[in-house]
Amino acid sequence: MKTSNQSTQLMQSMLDLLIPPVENLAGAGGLNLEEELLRMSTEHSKYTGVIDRSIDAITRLLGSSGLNSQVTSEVIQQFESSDPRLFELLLEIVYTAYYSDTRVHERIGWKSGALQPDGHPMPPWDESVLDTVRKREPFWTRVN
Amino acid sequence: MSVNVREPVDVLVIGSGASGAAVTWSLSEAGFSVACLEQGPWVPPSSYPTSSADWQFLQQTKWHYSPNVRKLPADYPVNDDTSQIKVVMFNAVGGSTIHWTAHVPRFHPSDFRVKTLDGVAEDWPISYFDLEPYYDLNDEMMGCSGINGDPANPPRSPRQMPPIPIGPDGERIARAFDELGWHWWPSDVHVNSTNYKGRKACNYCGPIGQNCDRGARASSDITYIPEAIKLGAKVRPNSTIFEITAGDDGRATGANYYNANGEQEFQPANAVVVGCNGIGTPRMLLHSTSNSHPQGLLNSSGLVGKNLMFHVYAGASGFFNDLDAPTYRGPLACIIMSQEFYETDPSRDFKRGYTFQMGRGQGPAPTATGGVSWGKNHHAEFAERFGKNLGLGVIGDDLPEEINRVELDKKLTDRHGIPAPKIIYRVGDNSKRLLAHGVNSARTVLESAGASRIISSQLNTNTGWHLMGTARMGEDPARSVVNQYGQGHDADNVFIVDGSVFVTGAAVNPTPTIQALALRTADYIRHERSDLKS
Repeated sequence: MKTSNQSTQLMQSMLDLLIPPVENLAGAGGLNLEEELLRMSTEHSKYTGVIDRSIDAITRLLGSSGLNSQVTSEVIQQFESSDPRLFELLLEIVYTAYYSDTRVHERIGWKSGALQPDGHPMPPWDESVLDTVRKREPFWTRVN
Repeated sequence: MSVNVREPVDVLVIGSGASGAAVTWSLSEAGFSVACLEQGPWVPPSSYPTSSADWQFLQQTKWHYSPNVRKLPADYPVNDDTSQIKVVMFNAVGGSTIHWTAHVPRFHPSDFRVKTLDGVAEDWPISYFDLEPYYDLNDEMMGCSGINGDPANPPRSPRQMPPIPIGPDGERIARAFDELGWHWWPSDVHVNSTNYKGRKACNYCGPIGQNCDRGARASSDITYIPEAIKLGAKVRPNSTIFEITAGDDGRATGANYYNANGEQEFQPANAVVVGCNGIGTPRMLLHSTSNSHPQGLLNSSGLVGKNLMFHVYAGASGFFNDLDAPTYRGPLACIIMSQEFYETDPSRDFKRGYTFQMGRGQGPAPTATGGVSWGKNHHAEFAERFGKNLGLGVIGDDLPEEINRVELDKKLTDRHGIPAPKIIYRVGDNSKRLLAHGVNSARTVLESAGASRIISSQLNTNTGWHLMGTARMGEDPARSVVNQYGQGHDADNVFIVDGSVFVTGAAVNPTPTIQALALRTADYIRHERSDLKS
C-alpha cells in the first residue's frame, strides 16, 4: 500500500468522505485505519491492491494537480461510476475495517470481540404462539 | 509415470458432504469396506469465524461462501460469468454443511408430481412417502429441532428437540401472518435447541452459516463421519479425484486422484458413489471419458450437466423503530417460515410456489455492506437498519430447463489443470412471476408487522447455494441419468447421491432431501447389491 505523506492524506480525505465524522467520533479518515486496511489488503487476495488502485484512480480523476488537490464527493462519485467493481471492493474493505473498530463498536452499542462463547440469551420457546395457526386445517396437496 | 495403487475397497465414496457422509456411514454399518475421498481438508472447529474477533473480515474472505472469492487450495474455480445466479459451496470434510444454515424443511408430496398436477417439468420416479423413513433417520443422525402439527405439511415423526425459540421479533412477524390469516410455522432446523449426542445447545450468537465450536449446528463432519470412522470407514481428506475409470463393459473400476502431496494415486473399487454436489458431480462425470463412455460417464442421454436448478431468491426487509431488543440478538435464520403460497393456485400467474423464511439483522459490518450508502447519509442509514431490521426471504421453485446447464470450461482449470465448470443459467419467466408475487406478499407481511420503511429486492444473485438437477433420476434412460436409487443407467455400479439427481427443486432448502435420498441409495446397496461386497 502506498505510504507517502500525500498518498496518506489523499486516502484519509477519501475515507472521511466515505464515512464522515459523527457525534464525537472522527470519520474513517481520522481513526488511523491505515494499518488495519494494510493488513486486510495483504491477508487475502480479494483485497490485494484495492487501496492503491483506488488512490491511483482518484489521482487520475484529480487531473494535473493530482495528489495536491482536495478530494471531493464529486470525485468519489466519478470513481464509483467509472470503476464500480473496484469501488465496491473499496467500500467493502473500508466498511469492514471501520465497523471492526472498538471505538465504533462503543458508539453503536456493539460488544467487541468474538461472537463465541457468549452468544445471546433468548426467552424460552413458548408453544402458545401457535394457538392461531394450529386452528387451520391441513392444506398440503394430497398425492401418492 | 508410476501411480500408487491403493488397496481395493467395496465402495469408493467421492465427497464427504451431506450425502457422501451419509452413504459412508450407512454402508460401513452394513459391513462394506468404504473409502471416502474428500478434496478439502479437515477444518478444526477452533478455526471457525465465530471464535475470532476478526469474524467480519473472515466471512468476507477465506470463509466467504463463494469459492471464487475464497480461493483456498481445496477450491476449484467456477466460471459463472454466464449465470444470473452465482455459485456458492464449501470444500472440506463435511462439504457445504460446514457453511450451511441448517434449515431443514421437507419437500411436499406434490413436489414429486409436478407433471401430473401442474403439467410442468417431470414427475419423480419416487414419492414423498418413499423418502419419509429416510428423512426420519437423517433427523435422528443430524438432530432436528422443531414441532409437529404444521398444517402445510404431512404429519411426521416427533423431532429430537423442541423448536429454537423464535424470540419477540419472531413473534411479531408471526402475529402479522396470523392477522393476515396466512400460514407460518417454526422452522425445522438441524441446530440443537438442547444438548444432543454430545453436541451442545445453540447459544444464539447469530450467523449460523459461520459455524461454532460448540457443535450446536449439525454438519456431516461431526455427525455421520465420526460414526463412519468408528465403523471402519477410511476418510481421506485433501484427495482431488479427477477421473472415474471404467472398463470396456462400461462399469466403473475406481478413480484416479491427487493425494495430499499432489501425487497421483488410483483407488480401485467395486462401486463408486458420487456426492460432489450439483456442479462438481457433472464436472466429474463429463471429465471421466473412456472408450465405453465417450461423452462422459453416464452420459449416453446427453443430460449430464443439463437442467441445472438453483432456487430463485428475492426478499424484503423492514425497519422497525419500536422493537424491545436489537435484531442481531439471536440466530440470523432458522426462525419461522410460511408456506401460504407453496402449492400451485390456478388463480395466480405462475406454477408451483415459494416459501417465506424470516431473517434477523446482522453485525455492524454485514449491515453496512448490505447496502448502506457512503457519504453524508451514511450514519443515518446505518442507524435506521442496525439492530432494527427484519427480513422475509422468498425461496422459489426453479423449474428445470435444459438450457440451464453445467459444462467443462475450455480454458479455466483448477490448480491441478482439471477443467473448471462453466455455468450457463438464466432465470425463467415462471420464476420471475413467482418472485414478483413473493416480494409483494413479503411487503404486505412487513407492513402488517408495523415496519416504518420497507426495501425489497426482485432477485438475489449471490444465492447459488442449492445445486440441483444436473444428473436427474427417472425411469427412462433417454430422459434421465440415474434410476430411482441413484444408480447409473449406463453403469450399474455407479451411484449419484447429491442434488444432481433431483428432478425438480421444490421451494425449500434441499439438504434433508439430499441426505434422505443418499440414505435410500445406501439402503438399496445394502439389501440388493451384496455382489459389491468382497
